[in-house]
Amino acid sequence: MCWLLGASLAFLMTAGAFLVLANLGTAPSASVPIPRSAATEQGPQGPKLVLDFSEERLEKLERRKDQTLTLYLANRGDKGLESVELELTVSSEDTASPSVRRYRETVLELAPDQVEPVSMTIDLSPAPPVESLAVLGQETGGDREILEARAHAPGEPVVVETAVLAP
Amino acid sequence: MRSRTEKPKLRLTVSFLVTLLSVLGTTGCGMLYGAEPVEEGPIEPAEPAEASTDVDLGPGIRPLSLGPGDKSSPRISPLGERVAFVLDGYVVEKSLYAQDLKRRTAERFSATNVEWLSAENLAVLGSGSRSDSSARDAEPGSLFVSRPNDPLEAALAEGVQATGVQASGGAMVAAVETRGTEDPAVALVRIRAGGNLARSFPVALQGRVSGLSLSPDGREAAMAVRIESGEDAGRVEIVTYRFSEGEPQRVALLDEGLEVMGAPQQTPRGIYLVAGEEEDEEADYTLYQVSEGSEGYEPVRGIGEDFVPASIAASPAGDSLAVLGRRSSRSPTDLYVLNLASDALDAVTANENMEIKTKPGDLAWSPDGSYVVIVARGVLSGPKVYGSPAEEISSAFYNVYRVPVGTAASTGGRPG
Repeated sequence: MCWLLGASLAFLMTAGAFLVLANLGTAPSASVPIPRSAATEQGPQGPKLVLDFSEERLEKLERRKDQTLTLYLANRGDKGLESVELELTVSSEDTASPSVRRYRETVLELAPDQVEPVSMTIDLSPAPPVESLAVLGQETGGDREILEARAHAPGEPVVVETAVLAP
Repeated sequence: MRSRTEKPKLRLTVSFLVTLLSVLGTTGCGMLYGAEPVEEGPIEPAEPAEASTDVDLGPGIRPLSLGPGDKSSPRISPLGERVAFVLDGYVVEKSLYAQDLKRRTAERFSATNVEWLSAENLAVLGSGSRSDSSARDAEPGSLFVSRPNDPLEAALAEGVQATGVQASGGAMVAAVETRGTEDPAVALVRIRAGGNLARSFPVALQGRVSGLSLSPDGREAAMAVRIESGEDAGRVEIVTYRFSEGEPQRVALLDEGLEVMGAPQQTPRGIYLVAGEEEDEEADYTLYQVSEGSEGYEPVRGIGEDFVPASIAASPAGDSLAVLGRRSSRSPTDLYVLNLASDALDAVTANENMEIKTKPGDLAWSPDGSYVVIVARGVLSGPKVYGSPAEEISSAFYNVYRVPVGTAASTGGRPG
């Protein structure tokens, strides 16, 4: 029976060694709190670009040429921004329609807490009907119009807002 | 004597081993397996951006597509991994939850319907594309086979009046107009998973097939046929065709002026169909049942007298019916599941502000019967602004939604 006792003891020691090793690799998570990021403790740092459509003005847009659209660029950070590029893409929800119109503006400077309105004259006239859908007897008019605006300043993430206009 | 001296030793050894195992059980093994029990199962992919916050169809419903474009005819692949649909007249397919859209036809293809033939091959119904030379000048109602990475070949069949697939995957049949004869004639054509014609079954019908479906086992077709000659010309008959017997059988002749929406659905409890007065846009439709062995048809009472159905689809096992419709003419359109054994009708969407497409092709079951796919978009009364790119928005445009129905256990389809 000695061999049995010896084997059991060896097994116990080996198991214990593995357990000790396993516990060495995993420090108790509760004892080390996750460090908070500096930004959340100290408030906004640097510039923060914000882009906004005016929904009130969107309602006044008509589906024809020469419509004035105003977008608002704001800097909610504490550092100024330079060369803020604003691109507006006007397209139909019909992905088979090739009609995509692009408009670009640049705001040279955007100081902290500054809100800059950017007006554009855009073409919202309906795209010509797509032949393939007309063959199918599907309605080609009445598509929703998509206004996708992207704002970007050097070193800053791109900010995107999309307005969808009902027919 | 030897035995006396050995017994205490044996007892000692056994008690030591018991203690050892207890210690291991409460310490070592306990530490190894002492964590909270983890329920095993497939890891759900991450929700697409904006998916759960912007869907007004009820809890648990997820978009399978995002972005602009008019989607229709959504179909889940036989293995439940991919979804194909018609997008603005062309055909695309993608993984269920990733936005890895893959175009399967040319852009201006004029596709009306798509079905999976296998895990990779698609059958596309349409007239073909003017920019796609292989499909040029095809007639409306032409059937094409799309294989991955291969250019689209010439139409497999023309003059296709209707198609039907086995809801669990595995069989497709097309009702094809037979040429060269004076009388209207139709052949039911079986199509293999590889996209080849398997066998043609000439069927003597009195008119044109407006809707076709296959029984859950794929052995029988149910058709709505608009009669074109004889004293019943203009009326619609419901015909079944068992492939092993080769003779069509009329199971119901609808009253004059009634038209069938989509295909009659064959189940073990009979044939179900949605019909209503034709040429009357205000008319409400009714769900009818042609019971097994009977020659007539009657409204399904279990759904309520005020219920207004629009389209139906039988589950892969044939024990349930997905019904798009309204509780009453003033209610919003929702998706319901009718248990054919109990006649219980359960709403599986809670539509608050969505337009749900109600054409018959825009409703389909997953092959395992655990969910239904529909096409819907949010109602917009004015401009709406979203804080994401257009291609990440679901509710602003017609998109495909996965609606769990919780009947997977009772169905016999393939696992998804």
